[in-house]
Amino acid sequence: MGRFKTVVPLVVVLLVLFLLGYPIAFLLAYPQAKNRFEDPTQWTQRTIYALPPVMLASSQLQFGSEADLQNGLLIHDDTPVKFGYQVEDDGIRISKSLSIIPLVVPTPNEGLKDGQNRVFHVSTAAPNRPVYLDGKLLKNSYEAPPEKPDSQRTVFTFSDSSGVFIFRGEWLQLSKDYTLNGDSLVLHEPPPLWLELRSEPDWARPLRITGDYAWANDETLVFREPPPAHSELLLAESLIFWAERLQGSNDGVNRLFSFRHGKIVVNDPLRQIYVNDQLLSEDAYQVVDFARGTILLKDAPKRESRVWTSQYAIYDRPLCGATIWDCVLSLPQQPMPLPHQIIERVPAFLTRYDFQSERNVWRQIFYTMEGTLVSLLLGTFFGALFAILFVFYLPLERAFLPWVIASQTVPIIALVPVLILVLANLGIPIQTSRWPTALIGGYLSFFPITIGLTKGLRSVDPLKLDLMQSYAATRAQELLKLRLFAALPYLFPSLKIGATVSLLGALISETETSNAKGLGFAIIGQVQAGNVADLWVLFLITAAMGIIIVSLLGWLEKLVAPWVRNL
Amino acid sequence: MNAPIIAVKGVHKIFKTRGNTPLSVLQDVNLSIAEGEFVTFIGPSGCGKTTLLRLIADLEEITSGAIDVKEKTPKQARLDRDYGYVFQSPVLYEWRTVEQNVLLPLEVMQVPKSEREPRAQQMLALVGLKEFTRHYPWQLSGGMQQRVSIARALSFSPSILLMDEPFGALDEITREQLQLELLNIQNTLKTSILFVTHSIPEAVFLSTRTIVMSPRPGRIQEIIEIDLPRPRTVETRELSKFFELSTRVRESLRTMGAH
Repeated sequence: MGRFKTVVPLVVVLLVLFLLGYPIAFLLAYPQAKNRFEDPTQWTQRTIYALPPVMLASSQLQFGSEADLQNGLLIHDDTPVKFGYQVEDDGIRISKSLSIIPLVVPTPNEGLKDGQNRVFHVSTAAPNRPVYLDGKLLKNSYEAPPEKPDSQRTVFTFSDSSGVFIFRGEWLQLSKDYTLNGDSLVLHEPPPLWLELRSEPDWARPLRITGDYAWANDETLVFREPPPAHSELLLAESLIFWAERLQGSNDGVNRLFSFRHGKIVVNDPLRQIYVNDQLLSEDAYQVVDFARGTILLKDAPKRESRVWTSQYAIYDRPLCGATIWDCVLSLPQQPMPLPHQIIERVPAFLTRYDFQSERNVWRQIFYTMEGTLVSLLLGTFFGALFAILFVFYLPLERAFLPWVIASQTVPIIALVPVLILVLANLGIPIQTSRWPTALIGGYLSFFPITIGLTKGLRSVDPLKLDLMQSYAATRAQELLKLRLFAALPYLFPSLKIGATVSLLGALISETETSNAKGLGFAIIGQVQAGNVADLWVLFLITAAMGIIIVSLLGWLEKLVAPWVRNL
Repeated sequence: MNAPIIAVKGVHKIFKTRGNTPLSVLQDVNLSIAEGEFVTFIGPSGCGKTTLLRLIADLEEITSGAIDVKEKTPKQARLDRDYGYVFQSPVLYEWRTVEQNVLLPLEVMQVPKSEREPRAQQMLALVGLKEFTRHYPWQLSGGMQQRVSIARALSFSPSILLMDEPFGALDEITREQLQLELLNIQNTLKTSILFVTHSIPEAVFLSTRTIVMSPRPGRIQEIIEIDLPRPRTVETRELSKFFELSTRVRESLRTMGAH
């Protein structure tokens, strides 16, 4: 047992650190972590596609059979999807839901498919829909001139002048409508209708088609090359979604419905909510809780209605992790570091071998330890002096004890700068001198020693005093041969307190003397740098120093006063 | 006859305790003790036996009356180290070994260093603790501790030994053994002994005179001459005279109970 006596407190310290450290650190970090965990903008985005039921309800969609699907109706990344989905009663279930999969359907369109015509009009307004020609996805690519057009402008500059230019939905013909001057397009006439610039959409500018086609306006599609005669022009009607049934009571009264998968994207412009087959307008519902994926319908749907969402994407996992605990771990700056984050930093401290550097932690430990011991010696000297005077001359105690007590109520933080100023005025070089440390530590430690030793010197067995009196001993003999020994059981606890406050005094004085030495300086440095974990490592080091000093004193006590434990 | 070694003349002792009424402990005590006597004091608890011993030792102050110790005031006698004092408990210094405890008075009295150790050794031999010089008090039994305390009291060869129930806390066997040893020591050193006890057989066995004291305020009830043959041995306890004297002491104690 004795062998482990010094190890046990250290083990207990570590145990307490871990047992209390995690809950405390967790509780302190919890609000911040919870915020990150629940804030949808802090979530990873996993795209989920849903097919609005309305699409299925439309009879013109003829993909009830496997063959239709295999004919390229479902295209994913330019490739018809053949596997990874299946058609079900209420939608297409896509098991490989990776990205937007356009549903390609024949679109009524106007345009002469004579092999010459390049301009087609489609009735449904759907810009940027993918376009298929004979089952092949075409490349929508164009370049707009960097300059903003105005009513008088006739010259537009492109990076290169090859390609087809379209203007206000009409494709331009070289030499008839414009000429090319280097990379500049020069219109023969200034655009006539651009007085109302504010309402002109982007596509009203000249566009140069660099891919297969470009949209000239919402309803006008211009091809770079005329499509072959009798070719089949297909447009993706919409994005295919995997329709997601929202959960909620269908009692005809309830207006709250929740998304089973959790979150709903904040401000998702593509979100569509359907009641049965009816698409709701944006003001017919509101999202009341993104985190729980809850929407509130303006009107309660009829009984047995089905509420669907075409949720375009959901955030299903916070970026910081799957649980709040992960989010705590990933917090960049915790109010209190987690125990293992502190322990991780310890080797980096203790394996510094640059002993020449004042920043070396071993040197700092040595410096602080030296200061502590000097302070303790000074404190012990004055503490003992006071105690002996008090014991032998009671009026002195009456006169001075209030001052001794008052001295300890002076805020030490305020005292340190004053003391340093005084020392500096006395011509003591405070940068190199140990006086500030010794005085502060001694100032703090003399108090417990005075109190403890006074009590100890008085706590002599009266019969032992009688014995001394029967020998006609002098007061000095009484002190040296009796009282000092009898006071040892009281002195050591006081010394232990004195040692810890000496350490405190040394640390405080080091923060103020700005000579860049000692652990006190290191602590201030880490505070200013905001290295919370390193700060805690320094706390651990100072705590370990305190434990070591106190256990050394315990060892000394056993050596010097072995009878104490037999009393 | 020589002058008495201790003369107690009309001593009163009143303890003035704060708040309480003054406590009269000793009242008009007169006593004369010759050199080489072994006087025991016996009486009920609180009759002032210990106080009387402490007055003689100058550990308390006399309220009125006077005590002469070797024709001096008790204070002067104390300063002259005329007596050794043995308390009921051994009062050993725990931080000193047996030998160092015996050396303590010699150190305090600044006996020359060369003389100290032989003296301590001699005293320890006298109490039969020669083998335990390096032991610490807590390593000894109660009886051994009390022997150390006797050796310590005798180490500076005082002419008077004041003993305040020294064997009170010991078991019967140890006690009787120590009584014999004490008598041997007295025989060797010719010390005058004043011995406070609660035990009638102890008082009778040890002393030349037993002083029976009455309860508070303490007065001397009766002084009984113990004319048992000396030196006293184990057989002394079996003499009919021993029983007679014990009965006398007991009766003396009982009569004052009838007051």
